[in-house]
Amino acid sequence: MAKKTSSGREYMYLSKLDIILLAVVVVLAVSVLLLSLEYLSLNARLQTLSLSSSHPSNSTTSNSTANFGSRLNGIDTPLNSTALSIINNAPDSYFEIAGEKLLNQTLTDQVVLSKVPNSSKLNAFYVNGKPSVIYIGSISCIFCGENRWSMALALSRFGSFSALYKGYSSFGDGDVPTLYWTKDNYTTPEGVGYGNDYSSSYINFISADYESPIKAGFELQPLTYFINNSPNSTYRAAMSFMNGTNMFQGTPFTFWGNIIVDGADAVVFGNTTPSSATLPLTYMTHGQVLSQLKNFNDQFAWGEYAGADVYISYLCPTINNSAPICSLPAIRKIESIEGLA
Amino acid sequence: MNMYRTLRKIYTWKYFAVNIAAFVLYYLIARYLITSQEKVFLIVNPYLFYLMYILILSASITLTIAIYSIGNTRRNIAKLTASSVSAVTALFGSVIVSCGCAVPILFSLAAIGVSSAGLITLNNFFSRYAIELVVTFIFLNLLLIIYYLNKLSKPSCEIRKKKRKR
Repeated sequence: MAKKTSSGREYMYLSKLDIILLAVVVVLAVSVLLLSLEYLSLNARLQTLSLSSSHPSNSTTSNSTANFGSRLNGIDTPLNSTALSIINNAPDSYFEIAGEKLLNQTLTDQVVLSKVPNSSKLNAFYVNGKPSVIYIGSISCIFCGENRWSMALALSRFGSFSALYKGYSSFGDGDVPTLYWTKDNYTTPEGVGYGNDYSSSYINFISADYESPIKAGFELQPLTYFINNSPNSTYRAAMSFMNGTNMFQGTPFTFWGNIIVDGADAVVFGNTTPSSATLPLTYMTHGQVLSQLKNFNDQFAWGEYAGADVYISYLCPTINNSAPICSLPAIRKIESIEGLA
Repeated sequence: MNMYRTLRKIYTWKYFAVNIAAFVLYYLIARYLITSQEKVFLIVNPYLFYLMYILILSASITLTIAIYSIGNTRRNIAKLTASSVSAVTALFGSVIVSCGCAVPILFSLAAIGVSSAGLITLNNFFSRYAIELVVTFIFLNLLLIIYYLNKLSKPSCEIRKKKRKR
């Protein structure tokens, strides 16, 4: 702004608003500059990592892995017996403590605990006389990646896994360490990884993950794609069942006994609900995740077990609470709040 | 320089406050839309996280100019276009940045007859091109800001002078 002095000479001065406007422009310019620099350094990091990563044998071509996720360490390798034992042999007391924390509202992560709407209650899907847990997800999906830890813990209370595989969500979708139910093909342009290594005397576990290159963001195909590519009649019927609910709103899309769940039941990316794009889980290894689940002394572990508790509470009424885990006081209380008891 | 003078005329403390209010309003709406999609306020992609704030800022400036235009110019040129573009880009941008695994807002379009397959294709498209789309929205707002500042700098749309009380 121009202003005249008493002697008639003009000079420029900046008012408070001028300074604020200039500050906004500077902040915008710096933000754009920082974003550009970060983007460039990220691309450089990707190039370096893609050259140094060891790729598993099921990679289709060596060239196709150039832009894949920043971490491929151990991808598609099965958990060793010690790691698998942490999932299969988690103490019931952990589920009870986490459930109590959920009920006392002392968890810092988001775990869904609310009355289950009648529209989500359907008839159970029976195969060989047992009700089923049906899972439809995508290996590129961050919420599937995060939630598979809770799902594995929940399923371990009704049976056991003879194998689980190391995986990651897509680089553009959090790049979080996760468990794959089967050896998923993370280089194929499109496909579905059906099946798992789970066995139970109470339930069936029917799983299908959409496979795509884990290099960009989330990708999925319509549920009809899952039906059309089903490996057998059981999977075809299960996928058709899920499609027929007309309740699909994204992944993970799961069915627990007779409760349909659209989306993850918990959002646990670290020791607190994230408020920015920086997710602690992104920077953790599988070993660190499993170690936290084993030690059970932080919010992350409590959140994952609480997420498992919610899935367990969905499943227990369908099997008439016959599994030992169903008799835990915390599970009964959660069922009561959900209107399932 | 004329555009800067116009911008300075617009940005009195009153309209600076209007801009802050518009920013807060858009931020709260964006937060609500993203939270209702993903249960938490989480933008997974770090670039989208920052671009979202830049989009909200640019949309709030556009809206401020629109509001100013309504009450202070001979022709209310920015009344409809600027305010609607500002609102649509901010709201649509909020939905796009949260597209991914869980998209209940997008899937509510099924109520108007969009097929599930179409919605998944749309979701994949938004997820894949989210950065490009949000950057486009930011540029759209910036272009509108420049366009209307230029228009408001011309005599035909000049800013009204306040009537002096006798």
